[in-house]
Amino acid sequence: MPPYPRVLVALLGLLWAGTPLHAADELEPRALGALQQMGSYLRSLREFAIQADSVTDQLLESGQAVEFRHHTELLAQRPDRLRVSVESQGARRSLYYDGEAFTLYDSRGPYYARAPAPASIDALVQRLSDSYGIELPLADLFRWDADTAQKVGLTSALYIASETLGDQRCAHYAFRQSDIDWQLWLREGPRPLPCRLVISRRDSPEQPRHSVDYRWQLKPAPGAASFAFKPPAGATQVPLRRLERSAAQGEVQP
Amino acid sequence: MKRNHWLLCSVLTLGLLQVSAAQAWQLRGGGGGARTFVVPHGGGGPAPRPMPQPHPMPQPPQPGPHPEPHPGPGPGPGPHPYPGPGPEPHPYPGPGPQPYPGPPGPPPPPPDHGDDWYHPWAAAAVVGATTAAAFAIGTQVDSVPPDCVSVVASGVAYQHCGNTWYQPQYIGGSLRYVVVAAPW
Repeated sequence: MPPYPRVLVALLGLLWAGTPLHAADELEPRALGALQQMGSYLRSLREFAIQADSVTDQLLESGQAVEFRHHTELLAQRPDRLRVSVESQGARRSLYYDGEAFTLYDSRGPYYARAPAPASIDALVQRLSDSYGIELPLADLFRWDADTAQKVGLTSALYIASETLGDQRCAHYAFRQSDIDWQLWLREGPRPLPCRLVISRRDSPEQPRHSVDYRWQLKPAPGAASFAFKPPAGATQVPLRRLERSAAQGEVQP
Repeated sequence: MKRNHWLLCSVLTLGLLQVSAAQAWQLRGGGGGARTFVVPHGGGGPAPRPMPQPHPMPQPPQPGPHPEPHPGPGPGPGPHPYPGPGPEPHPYPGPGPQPYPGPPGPPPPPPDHGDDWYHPWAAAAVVGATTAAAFAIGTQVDSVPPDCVSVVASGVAYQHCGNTWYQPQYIGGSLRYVVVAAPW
């Protein structure tokens, strides 16, 4: 063999060895384990309160991305009490669940809707989604569990760094799954709660982003009245529309 | 007669004001916004689909912002593939038995209301609903003009605006106003 090709082969070999593993295909056990721990820990919480500030991109017809800000407050008491409200543009939308019924109320109109509810928050989340097309704000918090990493089909899971967010020390992770990239900051220590979440769409060239900063309170000590909806004076009950699909399956409008 | 004339004029003027007061921007339809959840909805299936049009309807004659479609922010594929369960003109209008009594096809996908909480509220701007031209029954809007009158008839709440009647309803968790037939 002449020397020239031998050098070339050696160079190619060096190049190949020097190329890092394709990062997108890496599933770091540390990052997967963090997700699992967070899921289990969230499931173990009997009650909690969250204040969350979020920024959500929407696209104008021109393709320009603009931000919309929301403030979300959530109060949960397992198994069967929940109150969520989202504020934006000077208005507030709320959902109350007292173990027997749930109520939707939008402060902009003197109208609320009410329907019977199943006996647990988990069943409620499912019922809202299946029968009414309603997802809870911050719904991931109720859907995350120890198996989430497997269920969503992660293609990449990376630990980035330990960072300080506000007064919290949080571990920063980056994940990839079909259509979205997402980043999660998890509180370090014995309570692996989300500090921050950022989701970017990869199926759209503008890659619109949704980011949430969470503030947790683990001993909110809510009273029973916290979950009861008291209609404001003059408020009228109006219908809540079921999904056509579930109506076709013979479910009865309450 | 003359009084009616003035009334009509003022109503039309109000309508014009209403249209001109509408916002200058429009969100891209078909779900162009951010996705707000990691875990797919609906038991791990694919993420939300574009919202089907509940009622294929004639367009209102006004220019300006259109109350539908409500652009779902989900990651659905671009423009709406209308699932079209609506009243398509039937190629065989005969009243006889259907030659294919088989399954009527898959049900329309559920509307993508999931992200409504973080979608800009009332992005489908108020349209000039007080003008003389009424909207088609079934049209949905996010809000009604401030000069509408709140009416409760036989226990049912309405908003009466010019000659249009809206019934407030919660649809996918959002308060919407649906054009209905006059209750009287």
